[in-house]
Amino acid sequence: MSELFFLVFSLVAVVAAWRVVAAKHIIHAVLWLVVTFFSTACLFVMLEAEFLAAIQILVYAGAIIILYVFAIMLVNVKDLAPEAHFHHHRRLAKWLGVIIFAELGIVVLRHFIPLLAKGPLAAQQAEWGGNSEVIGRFLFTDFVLPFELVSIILLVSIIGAVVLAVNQERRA
Amino acid sequence: MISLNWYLFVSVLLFCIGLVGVLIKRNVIMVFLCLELMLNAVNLSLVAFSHYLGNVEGQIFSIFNITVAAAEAVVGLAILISLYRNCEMTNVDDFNLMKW
Repeated sequence: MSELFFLVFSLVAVVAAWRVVAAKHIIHAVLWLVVTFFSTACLFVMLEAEFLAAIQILVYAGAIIILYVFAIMLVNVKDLAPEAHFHHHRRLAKWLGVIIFAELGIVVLRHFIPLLAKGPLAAQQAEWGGNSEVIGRFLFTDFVLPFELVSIILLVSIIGAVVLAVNQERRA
Repeated sequence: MISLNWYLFVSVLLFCIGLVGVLIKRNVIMVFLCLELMLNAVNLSLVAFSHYLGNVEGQIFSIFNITVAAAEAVVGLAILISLYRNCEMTNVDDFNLMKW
């Protein structure tokens, strides 16, 4: 049963990702991206990362996509016309993608990766009550320095966005 | 039970689709969207490793990854809006002032 769900979700994710790249209109690309994020969230649930699935839907499919939609509304984007003088570069890029995909695919699928010695995650989840409890404990004990650094990154990006997007002429 | 290989394979597939998109698209917003696709593929492989190794580190790392992706989107779109206000275009090939 889980194989069937894995097949469906991964197929939807890959097809939607392909539609993002192949979309003729930019808003269609954004909507297909939402489909990819949702099916990736379903794969996260299958991997027993429920908190991350919720974060994926809230932050990625919610906040970031809304940001893109606002940017598209503010910027006058014309339809994505194919560039006539650009075919050489496009073919090169496609072949590069195929080569990298072949390399990585061979590396990933060549050996069956055996189930390694299971770490303490399942026991911790059973003991502490769930996935988000485990993540919260680790985030505020072992990973407290990266956590603070990430909050500084967010602060810098907020200030950067305000500084960059403010209207210079009106301010002067 | 699905083996780790197949999750990694899906992740590789999503990553390569995003990579091709970044390379062939000429619109700045489309390039950003494909970049998000690549980051998402990496998150999938991190979570798969986290599940199959029984460690929570992969999930925590992908939370940081999502945060950095959000910061990148915010700053990138602010730069885009600032550029659009100044020169009314969104094609990456037109922005070559600092290229060489």
